[in-house]
Amino acid sequence: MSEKKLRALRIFFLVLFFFQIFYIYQFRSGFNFKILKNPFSQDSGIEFSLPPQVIESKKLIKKNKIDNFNLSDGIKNNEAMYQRIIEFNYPIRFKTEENIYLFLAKENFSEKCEMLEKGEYLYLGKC
Amino acid sequence: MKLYNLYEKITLTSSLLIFVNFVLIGLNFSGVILKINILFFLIVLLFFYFYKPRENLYLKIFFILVLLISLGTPTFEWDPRSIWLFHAKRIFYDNSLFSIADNYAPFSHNDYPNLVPALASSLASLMGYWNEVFPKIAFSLMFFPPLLISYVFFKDVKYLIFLSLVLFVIGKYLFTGWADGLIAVYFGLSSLLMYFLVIDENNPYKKKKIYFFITCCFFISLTLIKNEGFALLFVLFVSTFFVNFYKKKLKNNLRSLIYLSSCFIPVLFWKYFCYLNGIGNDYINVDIIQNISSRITNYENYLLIFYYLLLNEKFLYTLAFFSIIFWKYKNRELLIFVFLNTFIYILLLFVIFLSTPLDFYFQLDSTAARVIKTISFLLGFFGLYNLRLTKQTSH
Repeated sequence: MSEKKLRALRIFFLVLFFFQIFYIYQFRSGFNFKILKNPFSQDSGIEFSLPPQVIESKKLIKKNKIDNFNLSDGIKNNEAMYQRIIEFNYPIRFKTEENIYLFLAKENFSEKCEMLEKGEYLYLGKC
Repeated sequence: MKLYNLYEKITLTSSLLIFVNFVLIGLNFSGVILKINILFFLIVLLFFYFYKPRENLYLKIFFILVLLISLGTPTFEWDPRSIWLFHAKRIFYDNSLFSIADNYAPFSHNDYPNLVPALASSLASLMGYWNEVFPKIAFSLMFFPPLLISYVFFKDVKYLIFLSLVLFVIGKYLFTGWADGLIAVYFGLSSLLMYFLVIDENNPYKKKKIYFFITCCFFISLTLIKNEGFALLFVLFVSTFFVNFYKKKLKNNLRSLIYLSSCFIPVLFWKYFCYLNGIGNDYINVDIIQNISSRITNYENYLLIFYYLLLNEKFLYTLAFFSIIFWKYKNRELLIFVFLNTFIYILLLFVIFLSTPLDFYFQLDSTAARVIKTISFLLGFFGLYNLRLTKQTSH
């Protein structure tokens, strides 16, 4: 291939290279400048990654200094929320024998349980 | 020192440091040693940037942009959150690779090997706390060794086309915390290195010892990134065996194959550890025979797999590119080698999809486009390797 053609090819692929990066950044990444401003802070990006119920679960657990927690049937039946709460709250663990429960606010709170704290989306109770 | 020799050494060092990080965590070494190891890895990266800063500008720009996008991207998809970064978080808090023995949160596939989560965990340990964004760049940094060594094989415009191919096939998987893009790139490079060392008789790289070690690092990394890597390396050995058998050169290359097969040892240790602790795999532990036998006779299942797997647009584009290049520049031996890799892996994927314990449609819809990336990249990569833009094709 002649040097002239090689140069044209180089320019074409250089333009394509930047276009591809721009396309991925703009349409495929979910990029957010708010995250890039401080990617090293402890809570960076969580509001864009997780539903508010999951973020609140950590607040309730942290504030009440809970070691392990259990989840109500309402949360267990919602697989996505169940998994997110477990992984987001690690190293605090979900244990089925634990008597501190997280409930959905819209669930019926059992009379046998003692309310520890009411959140906007979740309740923390001892049963 | 010649630039290419330097890049070979940087590739080997960075690959080794990633593996050493995994081993150090596995052997419960202290945090200080882990931090020194990961700092050394970052220094190697900086050395690449600042030693002859004008050389290989494409890759330097590529990595800066990919890392910036990664640092501004939330982790919201299922695999990155529930598997990879959760594993990294567990390693970070438990300071161990083996704490998964308790099989806590089995939805996170505790049997998956943890090479990249171990790197992510060590990055978090540099900050001293867990964070949702920063450790994710480990997935982008893992691309560094294979992309750097590719510069030795593709020069100038071909390297630019190579980066364009990476962006086209791997795309967002470069920075979102998925492991599928890594599997694709490591398999492509592992295949090329296997071809150099065991198939191509007169290859100049065969004489350089460093390539044997780089190949070992890539093979080990491939198996420890994800379960598919184990299957892919096995496919690579089978196809290499057949090509050598066909050429009647098996006797000459058997020793190399045996030496290289030692790269299975780390993943076999990992699998043995999982077996001892009763940590199973969804696809293997559940009744495979029953699932296959209930689906194998229905031809519509084959059509569906064909539709999801082989009518993927990236696969078709790279297949067309590969076919045109190999039609124009004949290389029978390489063609057979790539064809065997592709054919055996696709055959394996058909078996895996037919035996899935999950809903058939769900399985295809959620995974087919990701797993076919490996073959798309392989075809594009070897098509590009065989493309001759100038008279000189290798350094």
